[in-house]
Formats: sequence, C-alpha cells, structure tokens
Amino acid sequence: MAKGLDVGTSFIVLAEEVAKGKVKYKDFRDAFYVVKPATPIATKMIEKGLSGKTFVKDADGSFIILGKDAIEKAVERNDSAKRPMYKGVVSSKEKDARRILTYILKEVAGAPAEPNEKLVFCVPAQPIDQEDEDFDVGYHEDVIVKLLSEVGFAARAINEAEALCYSELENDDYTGVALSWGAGMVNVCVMLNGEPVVKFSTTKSGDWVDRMAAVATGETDSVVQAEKENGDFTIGQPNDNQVLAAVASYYDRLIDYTTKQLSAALDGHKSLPKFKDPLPVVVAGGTSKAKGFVDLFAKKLEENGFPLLVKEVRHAADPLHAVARGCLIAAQVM
Amino acid sequence: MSDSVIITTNLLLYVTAFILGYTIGRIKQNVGEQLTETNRGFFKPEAKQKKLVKIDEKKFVTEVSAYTLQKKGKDLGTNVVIEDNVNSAVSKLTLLKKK
Repeated sequence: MAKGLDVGTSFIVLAEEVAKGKVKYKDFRDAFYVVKPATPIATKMIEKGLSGKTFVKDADGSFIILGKDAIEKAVERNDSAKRPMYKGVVSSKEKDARRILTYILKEVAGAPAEPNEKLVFCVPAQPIDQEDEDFDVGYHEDVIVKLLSEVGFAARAINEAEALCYSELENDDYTGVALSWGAGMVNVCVMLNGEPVVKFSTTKSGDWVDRMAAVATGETDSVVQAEKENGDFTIGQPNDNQVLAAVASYYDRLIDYTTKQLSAALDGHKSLPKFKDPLPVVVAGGTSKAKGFVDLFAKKLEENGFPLLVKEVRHAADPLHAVARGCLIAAQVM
Repeated sequence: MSDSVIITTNLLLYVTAFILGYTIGRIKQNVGEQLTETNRGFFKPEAKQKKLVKIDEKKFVTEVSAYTLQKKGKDLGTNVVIEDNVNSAVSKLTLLKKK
C-alpha cells in the first residue's frame, strides 16, 4: 500500500488506490479562520452556529474553522481566511500555522494501512524570481516528514512538477515539460525519459491574481477568491463584474510574466539536453482552470520566445488531482 | 697576435661567460622551485581548500503539538473515487528507472 499527498498552499489532496483501477482522492481546502468568543454565552452561541461545519476548539476557548467553511465565514465577516502555508512552504515564524497544518495533515492523511506505509508528498522547487529568507524548502520538508513519521508513515518528498510529469507524461515516454499552477507559485519541471533535468519555480500565481484584484477593487482576498472560483469569466476578455474584470486582466499579466520567466530560465540552460522531437507541455493546478487559460498560455509561450520546440500544450486530465496522482505513482515505484 | 685572433678569443670568453652564467642561473632557479613545491606539499594548502567543512545550518524542527485542538465539527475534506488505473504508469516508470 502507498499514498500520495499534494501539500499545496490552497489545497491538500490525498490520493490512494482503494481497489484495482480505482483511486480515491480526499480534497481539503487549506485555510482556517479563528473566532474568539468574548463571553461564555458567546461561546455557546458560536458553537451552535458552527454545527455542520468543520472546526476545532482550541485550549484558549477560541474556535478554528477549517477548510472551505473558513473561507465562507471570512467572507461573511468581510475578512480574509488565513493559510497555514505561504507560497508553497510552511513558515518557521508562524507557530500557530504549523500547529494547524500539523492537525490538518494528520487528519487528511489518516492512519497508515500498515506500519511504515510509503507516502510521497510534494514540495516546491527553489524560486528563480525571489530570494526570501523565510522560503526554506528544506525546513518545510523536514516539518512534513516529522509529522507524518509521527503518525507512522515512511514519508518522502518529491518535487511538485516532477510529480505532475509522472502523472501526465506516460504516453510521451515521460519526456516533456510540466507546469503546476498552484495558489502560491508555479512549479516547472523538464523531464527526459523519466529523469527530471530542470526544476524551478516562480512566486506569482493565483494568490497574486487575488491580491492584485483585491487591491484594485477594494475587496478582500477571500471575496475575490470566492468570486473567481464561482463566477464566469474568460481570461483577457471584458466582464461586467468589476472583480472578475480585474481577475481576468491580472491573469493575462500573470501568464505573460510566467512565460517570460520560463523562456529566460530555459534559454541556454546547461542541463537541457538536445531533444530530438517537439515536447508536450502539460499544465495543471487550480489556477490553470480558468477559461481561456491553456490557449493564452500557448500563445504567450510562442510570443515570449520559449526556447524548446512544442508539440502541444494541454491540460492535465484532472488538473486538481494530477499532482497527488503523480505522488501516488512515485510512492508505488519507490 | 693578429686582431682577428684577439676578437675571436674575446668573443669565445664572452660566450663562455654567458653560458656559465645562464647555466648557474637555471640551476639556482630549479632549486628555488623545488623548495617552493616542497613547502606547498608540506602544508597542503590546496588539499585544505578542497575539503570545505561546513556547519549544518538547517533549521531545527521544534515540537509542535496539535493535541490542544479538540475536534468538534464534521470530518475534514471531501472524498471522491475515480476510475483510474495507475498500474500501467507505475510499470512503465519502474522500467525506465531501472535503465
């Protein structure tokens, strides 16, 4: 038995094979919102109001609402939900966030089916566009390994985009390019016959779109996120809803920025082999689900001088689960 | 003695003196180089430079207990089962990794 775990800034997804030809995915929105009651009566009222929601009670009496319920509660209060992770990694400075992430991961991963069950989880690559002291992949990996080991898993880390390659490049002899567009960052992997040759990340993705659109429209990030996920918009096209119009515009800029970074990073890269055939480029992740994303991304790749020959640009078969699926495959191979 | 004999003798003397001086100079230079090499080998500064000793500065992962969080509401996350055969991917990748 083995499990795959996508530990993302916005979603945590567990993948496990429950029967031959059947994979179970457990999706959890990686968010929390703290409500601190002022009086004992308020405590009872809040607890009653939270019935049917996902939440925990802390030792100090406060309620921590988890998952999509946290975002709904934050929107209700015209506030923003918090995240236990920021830009793909857990921060060493945020003790509370680590405590909540520990709880969430233990609940999502559950108990191992057997002692030392193999579990592969994903970690981001080092970003090429930002040097942040708080961005420490090694520390992030150590934290996750430690807490999963406590539960009884034999946990190992894999690069997020590498996992995406394992999930999506089976029919291409595991040769191609994969981009995982998460909330916090975009992870990139170039693979040749199952071996990753180049891995890196950029630090602007869906959260950046939310933040910029929120600033432009005067809304909170959570409101923008909710509008973005439930509203109807196409990237690069005008929209009557001002929030969605801003989102569509910032999406355009994000894709332009990322393709420029991608081209600059790969142009003349020493580790790149000479590919004999044009490569498939696969995109996945929640940010890539917007309408018009793949078409605009393909267009921008060409416009911004992507240095490799491209056979096709395609969406992963299941963009939200592809990384977890790749982790599951890696866990079964290892 | 004729002038030509005097000139030839002087010329020979000059050439001999030059060759002697050149030879002595080269010998002395070699001795100096050997000493320098010996010194370099003795202290092994090159070897010291290659063997970089680094301290492990990885952040220590402190204990964080989540036991104070008391589960109250419903279970975390939503489950979905998808018809998906990952075995062919696993087999193909296993073969590739063995190569």
